[in-house]
Amino acid sequence: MTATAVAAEFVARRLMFSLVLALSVAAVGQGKAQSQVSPGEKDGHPLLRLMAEELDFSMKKLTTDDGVRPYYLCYTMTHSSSAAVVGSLGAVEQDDFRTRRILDVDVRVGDYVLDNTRQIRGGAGDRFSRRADGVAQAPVEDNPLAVKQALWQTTDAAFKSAVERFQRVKTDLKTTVEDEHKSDDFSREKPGVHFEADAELTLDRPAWAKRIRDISRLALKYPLIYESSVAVVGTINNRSMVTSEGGRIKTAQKLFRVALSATTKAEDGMDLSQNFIFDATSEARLPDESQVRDAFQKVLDKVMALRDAPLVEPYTGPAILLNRASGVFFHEIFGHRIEGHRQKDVEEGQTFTKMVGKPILPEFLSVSDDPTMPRFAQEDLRGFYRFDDEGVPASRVSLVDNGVLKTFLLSRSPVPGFPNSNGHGRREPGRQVVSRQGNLIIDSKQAVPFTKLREMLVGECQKQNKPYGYLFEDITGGFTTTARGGPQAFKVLPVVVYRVYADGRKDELVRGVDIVGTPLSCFAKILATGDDPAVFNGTCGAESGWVPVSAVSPSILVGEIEIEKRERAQDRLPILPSPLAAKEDR
Amino acid sequence: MNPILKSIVLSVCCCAAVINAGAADPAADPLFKALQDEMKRSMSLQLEELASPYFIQYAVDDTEIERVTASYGALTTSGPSRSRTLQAQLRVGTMELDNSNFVGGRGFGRRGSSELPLDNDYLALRQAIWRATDGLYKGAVEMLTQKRAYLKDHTIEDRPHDFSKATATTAILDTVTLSFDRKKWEDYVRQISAQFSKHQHIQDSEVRLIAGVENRYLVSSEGSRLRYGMAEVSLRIGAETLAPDGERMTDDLEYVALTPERLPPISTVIADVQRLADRLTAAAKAPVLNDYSGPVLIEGLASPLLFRQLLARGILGVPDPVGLARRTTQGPEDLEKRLGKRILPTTFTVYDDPRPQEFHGTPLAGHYLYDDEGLPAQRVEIVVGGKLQGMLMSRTPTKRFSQSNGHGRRGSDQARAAVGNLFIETSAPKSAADLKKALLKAADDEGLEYGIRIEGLQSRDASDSPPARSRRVGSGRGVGDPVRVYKVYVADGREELVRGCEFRGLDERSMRRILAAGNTPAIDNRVISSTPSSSVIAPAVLFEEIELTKIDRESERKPLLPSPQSR
Repeated sequence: MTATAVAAEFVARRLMFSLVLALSVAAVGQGKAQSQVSPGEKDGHPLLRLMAEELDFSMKKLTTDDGVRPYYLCYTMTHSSSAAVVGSLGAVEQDDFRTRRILDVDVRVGDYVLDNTRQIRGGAGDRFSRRADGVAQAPVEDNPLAVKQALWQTTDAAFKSAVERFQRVKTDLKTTVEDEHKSDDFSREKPGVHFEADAELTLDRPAWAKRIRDISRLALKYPLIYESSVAVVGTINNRSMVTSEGGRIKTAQKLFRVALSATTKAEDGMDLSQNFIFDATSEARLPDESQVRDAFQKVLDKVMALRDAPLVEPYTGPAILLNRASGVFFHEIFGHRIEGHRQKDVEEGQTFTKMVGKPILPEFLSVSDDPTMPRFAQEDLRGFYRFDDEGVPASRVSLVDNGVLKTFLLSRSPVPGFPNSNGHGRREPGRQVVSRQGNLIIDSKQAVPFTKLREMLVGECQKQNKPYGYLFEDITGGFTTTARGGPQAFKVLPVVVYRVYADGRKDELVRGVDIVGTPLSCFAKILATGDDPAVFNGTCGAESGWVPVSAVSPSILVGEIEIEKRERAQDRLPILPSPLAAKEDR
Repeated sequence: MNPILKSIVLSVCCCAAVINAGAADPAADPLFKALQDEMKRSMSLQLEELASPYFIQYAVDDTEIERVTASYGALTTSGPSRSRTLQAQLRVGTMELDNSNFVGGRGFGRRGSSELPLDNDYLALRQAIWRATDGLYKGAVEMLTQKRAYLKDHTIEDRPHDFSKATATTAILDTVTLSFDRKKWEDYVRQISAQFSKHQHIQDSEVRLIAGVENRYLVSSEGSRLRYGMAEVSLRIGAETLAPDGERMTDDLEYVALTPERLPPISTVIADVQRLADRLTAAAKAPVLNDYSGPVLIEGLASPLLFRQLLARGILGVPDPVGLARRTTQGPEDLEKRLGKRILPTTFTVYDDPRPQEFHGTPLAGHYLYDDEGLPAQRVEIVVGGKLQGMLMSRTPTKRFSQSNGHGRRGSDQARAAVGNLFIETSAPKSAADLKKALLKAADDEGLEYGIRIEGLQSRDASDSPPARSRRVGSGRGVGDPVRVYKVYVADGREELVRGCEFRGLDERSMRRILAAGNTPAIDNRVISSTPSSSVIAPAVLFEEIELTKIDRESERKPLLPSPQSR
């Protein structure tokens, strides 16, 4: 079973680190003492040089007793630093800075046609599991012996396990029928050479702590809001990569985020939450204090309004997904199904595998994935990168052109008819690479102003004889099943949904809505779009871990959408009133 | 957050370098006030017809930790972390029968552990305590309902009460803060770790320094109010090598101190590292010991480590849980049913006394003044004249003991009986030379060519001891494999280092067959995350018969390439 998910919240306190870390988190001081590569220095990439030396040594000398050697070796060292300040009700709850280096060793045995990474029948389950060999926590300093020691040990373990797996692959091939598709295991690509200066994490934590105390205090007025938080997180990932094909890459990624959240329960016990996130690629591009304050106030107001909103009833009928909500929708139900590795995995549903050249979306829609786009309008895109995690340059890929499927998102694991990567092999450090989305962009030729789209929704209600349609303003995330065994279904989790009445009554906020459905039928029912493309920034979890992604989409009008009532949490309301309401002690 | 140092040595009387921060007036401490006020209110929690709590205890660990690790002269981690964890305990029902100690039904209830704001902000603290208590109460009433239903259908003979009475304690001591010169200690750790670069035969190594302070708060609905500070530093050095046949061999060093300044000077540590590397290198070259059965002299750290395995776990007074799941935990037998019976030679005395802070100048990790249920630490006689006389008790009674003796301590979970400083003593101490003579005589009596002397055990917690990934779980009731094993020849007293063996059939009954004990006790200080810190102090002991067998291991394959430092 394969499930994938995108989550925008990603805010919850301690989770912030646990989500992204493959190995045990290292708490590290805000030291600049580490001998880092100084940016701009001509041949000053000491870490890359050390890695390249050890890689060459391994490629030359590594062999088993019976002469098996690696044909490909790749070292990736990801130096991640994260700073976070989280506060609630005027108090700081967390104030951390951490840094660590994760080493990934990818080693291939066999050849480009057939190697140790070939899927073993019935063995698909191991894709989700974290690999045991080939990952290590490495020194955070460029001490040659210490770095090489880590490389040497990890390479030894990774190579032995690759040799063993290759043996299993060959045995498996002898005992099972030939695959209907015959694609190679590894594509040949021009090795990437690219150097960016290391980024240094700067986040003025004392200033943010003060700001967060001030802003989070707004929630003191709401005793019915049980949990709320204001958080800032800054992360940099300095990635150094060397491959036996000659790849030499250094990249620096910067991700900053201000996340606001509030949680309450309706009287019937249903959990209700609201959040809002600002994403940026530098501290300077984060919103100022008053913007954060306004946004937090809105989050508080919205979650309070939700408490009083009526519960939704199951419904089938027309709806508008507002631009950002539509982005999540496309990410889940479309994006995950055009990931290349799903087209060759026999355990996958392969919704689109045989649809290349055929229409899969309305003719007026085109979809591309463009990780090379740093921004859309004024907004920074989290799915931006220049080189993927196999060292292939990122590129804009036209996936659907005027409704017709053109290609897939491809890593270096070729798909029949598509022998090369298009720079979408991605992973969280410590995981195996698979093809993933970057910036998913939805373009429409049938774009109308939003007011017009709304009128069309009302018209559609009248046509279908429905008293009301729905407007999905905000969707925080969702998940989708792509596996063959499971239903080809998806579920997205809308948090702000309005009923739009056909008779012109005022829109009504409702709660407890889940959208359900099957992808193909849903796409066919997209009637029109707005002219209002907007960005959804999130973090997407799948086989290769959590990676930052974006989706840019206009609002869409769907002729028919299916709504379920959300299952209620079983917890009751708190028994005693919140201390915020209990004045006697103050 | 950082779970290490969940429990660390109390240092109220000797923390000159670790300066008091808090005033003695608990009313002025917002955390104290928030805990008290919310507890008072929470005693009135009631859901429909169900009972209100009869007992609430809040314990807060405010922890500051500096952690520096390095390998081969380079840091792998360095930096501080701070956390403030609330461990709440809430009981509904009565002391005879409450929601605790029940396994089965739906889930395991709530663990009662949650994070509190770091700022001393009264309202924010109360909000967090309120949320935690609300969930805990709902879980508790559900658990009690299920437990009562279970007990209706199942008869349990002599079921002990679930909780015992205790006198409330009030002690407001100074809080402590951590002063840590990070740069200095990073250099210290770097330099030590760099020593291994010289040793080609050492395949992996890690040096880890952890310095922490913890300020602990405790309030209970019975009126206990405690605040005290603790500090501890641990320096651990682990190394690993491979024998020619692929056996992975590890050895380590550990130093415990109250403040970083009290760690040994770097020259001392470097000399010890040299010895560690030498003995590991020598051990890797040593021949494998074939099966052996006969007298064994357990010396040095091996002795307290062995008593940890054979004795320390069996003397914890922990009742069998009520519920569907039978007690399935492995490990030494619960010794309670052998009360009054002989478990050691008549010359042996065993007691646990958490009050001493040091033993012959070495700090004891198991020292504390109050346990985690607010009771003062006290000395407990365990074995007198070789006979088992007592058990270590928390406030959770067992069939034989209804009262706590101040040994209720928390690891990462609720308080339960745990070792503090466990002293194993003999009334007939022998010198090392006499012990060796006794070993040789015993071997000769058995018609053996040699006896065995063991200096160390590879028994430390796998998750705790670097390098962790290669730890092999010892066989037979969790007794770790012996390290630094010597054949001692009867003919001439000559010694020969051997390797590659494990204990067979060694358990708590073996302790009855101790022939003699030494006069120089060794201390095993243990500071690990999941259980409370503890110390075991024991002299060398000569066993009449221990069986050692060759380890039948799936041999690790040697690295294919030479290590970087040997190229």
